[in-house]
Amino acid sequence: MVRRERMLAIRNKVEALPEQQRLAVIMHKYQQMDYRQIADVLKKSESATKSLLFRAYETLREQLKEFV
Amino acid sequence: MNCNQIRERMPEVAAGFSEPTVDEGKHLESCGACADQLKAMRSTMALLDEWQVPEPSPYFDVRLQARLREEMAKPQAGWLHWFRRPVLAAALTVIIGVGVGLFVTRSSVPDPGPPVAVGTAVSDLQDLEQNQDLYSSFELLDDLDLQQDVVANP
Repeated sequence: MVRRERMLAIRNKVEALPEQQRLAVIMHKYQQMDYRQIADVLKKSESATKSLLFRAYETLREQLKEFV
Repeated sequence: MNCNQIRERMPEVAAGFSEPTVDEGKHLESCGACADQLKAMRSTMALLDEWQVPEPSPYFDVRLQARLREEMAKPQAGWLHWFRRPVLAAALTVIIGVGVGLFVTRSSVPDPGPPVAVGTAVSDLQDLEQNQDLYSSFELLDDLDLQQDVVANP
């Protein structure tokens, strides 16, 4: 039950991210794509992609800290 | 190596996709804030591992491939396919409606006809018609004068 709630919370928080951040997280974390590939898909520079991912993971860390 | 540089690499390191370089390792040893941030991000990554993005089912893939093949097999519609779009069709209908409305309104205005020369019988009749109210007042005045004559000279 707790695990199910946790999974639901993770899904909701990932889906609630701004679109570019959400796509970047899914590509990075779940598709194992590297920065260059993600940057190509999102049409951003590699540096901007790194910042985008850092912000996305920071948001997730903040919002999921009760489950960590 | 500074904090901003290591933060850019942090998701990669925290996800376990790469190891910190020697410089990054030294910075992490000397900077408590970055070390704490990396530790927290590793915990978040571990938490995110619990959820997997759902893969589309094989049935979905088969249907998608079939739809793609159908679409590619369709003949090109040509330039007329633009008119099959609902928004364009509605816009075209409005434009045609306004055009027809303007045409009908303009054609219903009466034609004044050719100009009439002053002093002819036609122009006199038009003057009479246009100033009918004024002339009828004159007639009333004439009647009043006649009555006064009758009273004065019975």
